[in-house]
Amino acid sequence: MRKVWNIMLFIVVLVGCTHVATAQNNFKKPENRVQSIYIYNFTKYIQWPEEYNTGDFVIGVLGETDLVEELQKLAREKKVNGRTILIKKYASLDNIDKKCCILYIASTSSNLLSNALQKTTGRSTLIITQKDGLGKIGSFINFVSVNGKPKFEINVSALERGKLRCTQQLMTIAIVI
Amino acid sequence: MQRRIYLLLLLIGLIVPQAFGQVVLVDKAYDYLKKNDPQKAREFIDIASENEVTSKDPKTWYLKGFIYAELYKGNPTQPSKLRESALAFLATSIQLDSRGMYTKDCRAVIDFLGTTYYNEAVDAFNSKQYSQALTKFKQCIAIKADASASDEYAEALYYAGHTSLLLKDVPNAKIYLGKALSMNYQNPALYEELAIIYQLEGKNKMASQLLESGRIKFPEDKGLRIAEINLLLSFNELVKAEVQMEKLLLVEPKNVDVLLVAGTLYGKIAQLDSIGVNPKQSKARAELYFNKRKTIYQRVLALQANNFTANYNLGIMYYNQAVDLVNAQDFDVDAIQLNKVLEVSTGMFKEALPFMNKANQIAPNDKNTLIALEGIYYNLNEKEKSAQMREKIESMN
Repeated sequence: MRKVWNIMLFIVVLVGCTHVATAQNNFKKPENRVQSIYIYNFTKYIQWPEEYNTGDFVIGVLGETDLVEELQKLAREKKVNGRTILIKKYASLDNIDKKCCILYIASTSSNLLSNALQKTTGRSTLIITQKDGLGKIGSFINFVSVNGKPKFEINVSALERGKLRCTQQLMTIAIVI
Repeated sequence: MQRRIYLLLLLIGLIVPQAFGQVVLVDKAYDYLKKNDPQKAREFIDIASENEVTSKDPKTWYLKGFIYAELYKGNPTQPSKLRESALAFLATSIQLDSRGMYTKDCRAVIDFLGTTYYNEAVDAFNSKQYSQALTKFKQCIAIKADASASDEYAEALYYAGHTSLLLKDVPNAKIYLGKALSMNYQNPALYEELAIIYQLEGKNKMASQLLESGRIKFPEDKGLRIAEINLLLSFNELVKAEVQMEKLLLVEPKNVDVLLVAGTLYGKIAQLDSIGVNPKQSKARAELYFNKRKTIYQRVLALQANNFTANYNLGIMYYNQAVDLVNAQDFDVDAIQLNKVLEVSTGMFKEALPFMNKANQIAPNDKNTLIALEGIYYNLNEKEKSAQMREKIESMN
């Protein structure tokens, strides 16, 4: 009779003896968290003209982006020099408040940058974008990635045109254009 | 009473010539069988078994069962009903054998035929045809139930249970394994698998008791030791589990199964520490166990470079650590400090990538791996590759 010695004994993985962890649910959260922390830092390291220093601190968002959730969290938790942070989602450039301090243009709406720059000419609205090359064509601050690491470009001329002053400290970690 | 005896004698006298003829047929069948011609023997025994007199003789049915068993033996792979017929004839013989003259011999042939089912089950099992194997094991069990004291019967019960587990039929597995245990079948895997079933049912105390009795019988068995550690893990008795694990690692330093369980244990310790009451202490311990876990998976990869679990878990460890690191930063973090944190987290995403790519290469359709890759690419700003992973994931839904 043939014996069963050659029966392979399987260790049945019924309980987690080779437990497999799963990836964090929201993989976009780190990027949004980083950008929102940087945006909050910009409110500290960048100085707006006097007329922008009253009322709510308006951060406008143009285009669809998950960043809004993080910004809303920021608005709930923090203030800018005692001022309430107000997050506004703009459907079009026509709706942008005159005293909008920061305008974030989502990457999906990057094509609106030129119009946004035109629309805000003469104002001190800090335009922030997130697409390679936009820093060079006038975006004030452009989030980029260098060798996989999140960085940001600062367009000094754009800041000057908007009468915005940036501390040297922030410049040390920025890619200055 | 006397008259009856005379009548009986008369009856015998009357039937002798006819009965004698049929007995001759039985003897002829027997002769042909001895001459190793079961086909010819079958012709004679088939006639004899239809006769009114010899059909009541257990010898006829025993011989018929034997002949059919021989015919089956001659060509076991040929699809036929010979084996089933043989079993039926032998059962008839036992039924008729009120004096117990042929029962023992019949049971021997039945046992032999049961073994043929068993061997077929083994072949099917080894070919990973588990459904077929289970059917054959069940047939063997049904046939050998009367000779239930045999080792082979207990072994068939165990393997029927084991095969049921492989087929994810836990209730049936429990029945067969339980029977094998009651037959005192000696195999550590039996204790291990039955304990796992109890554990799945939430009967942790029973699982624990069973493992304990198994460990007394097989103190050095690796599977039982792993099962015990898994049970401790499920109770969150991590200190005890770690003590057992360290001992096991000393004797099984190159055993991949053991190393993978160790990885799970360290991961669980780190995970529980990360939500512990003393964040400062927990952070240090989490780091310690992160490194212990990393070392364990590296040891696995040194033994098996293509081990999916080790590759995946190493990748996910780095990935999740990077995500946790970034998400833990609050809004008050200074930009300069954040810049340094991002240096570290980016390094971790980059560390994760080759392991996760390898896991993807080993198991291209593993959804968890694709999800992790989507996240890693996204956070390394390789948005196109991230989108490609998303497309693959969605095409799987």
